[in-house]
Amino acid sequence: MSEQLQFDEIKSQIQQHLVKSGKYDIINKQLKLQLYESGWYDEVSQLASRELQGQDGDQSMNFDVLFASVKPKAEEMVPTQVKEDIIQKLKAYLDDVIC
Amino acid sequence: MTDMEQIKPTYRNIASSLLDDMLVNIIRQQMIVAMSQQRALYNMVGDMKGGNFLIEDSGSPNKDIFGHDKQKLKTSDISKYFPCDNCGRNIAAGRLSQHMSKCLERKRR
Repeated sequence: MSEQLQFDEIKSQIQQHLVKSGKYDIINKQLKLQLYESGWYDEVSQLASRELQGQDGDQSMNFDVLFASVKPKAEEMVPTQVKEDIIQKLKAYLDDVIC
Repeated sequence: MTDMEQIKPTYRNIASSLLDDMLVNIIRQQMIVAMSQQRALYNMVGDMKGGNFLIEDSGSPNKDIFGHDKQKLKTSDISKYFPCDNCGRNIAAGRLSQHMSKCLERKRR
């Protein structure tokens, strides 16, 4: 359990550094751009619409239900190339700051 | 990969974890957008219990708002012919209005 805590702490410090430097914002925007260009946003919108229409018969629209249902599929739909690219960018940043 | 290796603070693991967080936030934002669009639509059309309608995604650049293929529309325009009421000739649908304005002008003279 302490390994997890250690990991979380290191990750948190790095994230703070990323945000402060403005790099987090830049990488986040690049991620969104790549997702948009790959058509991921369109696919996820369609998926969400279908889920919402499916829900409508049984219950009123519920964010938690929608999110829980769509999240795993949406994560799966992210192109491997995009994931790799962003991971490489983050690793490059880590290389830079952690000397 | 064992559990121990997965939580080891390697560059890859940290980068991967940060990416996951970014994606979760993006997905969350998209769900909020989708829900508010749905809600706005339902507010417009009223409560249609049992109503069966599909929101056509206008994301495809090749389709117009009725879901017709734009390319096919162009060719269907050209393949249909209509007789001109003035001169009786068969004119292609796309050129009909142009022809009518010239034809009526000619007749008037």
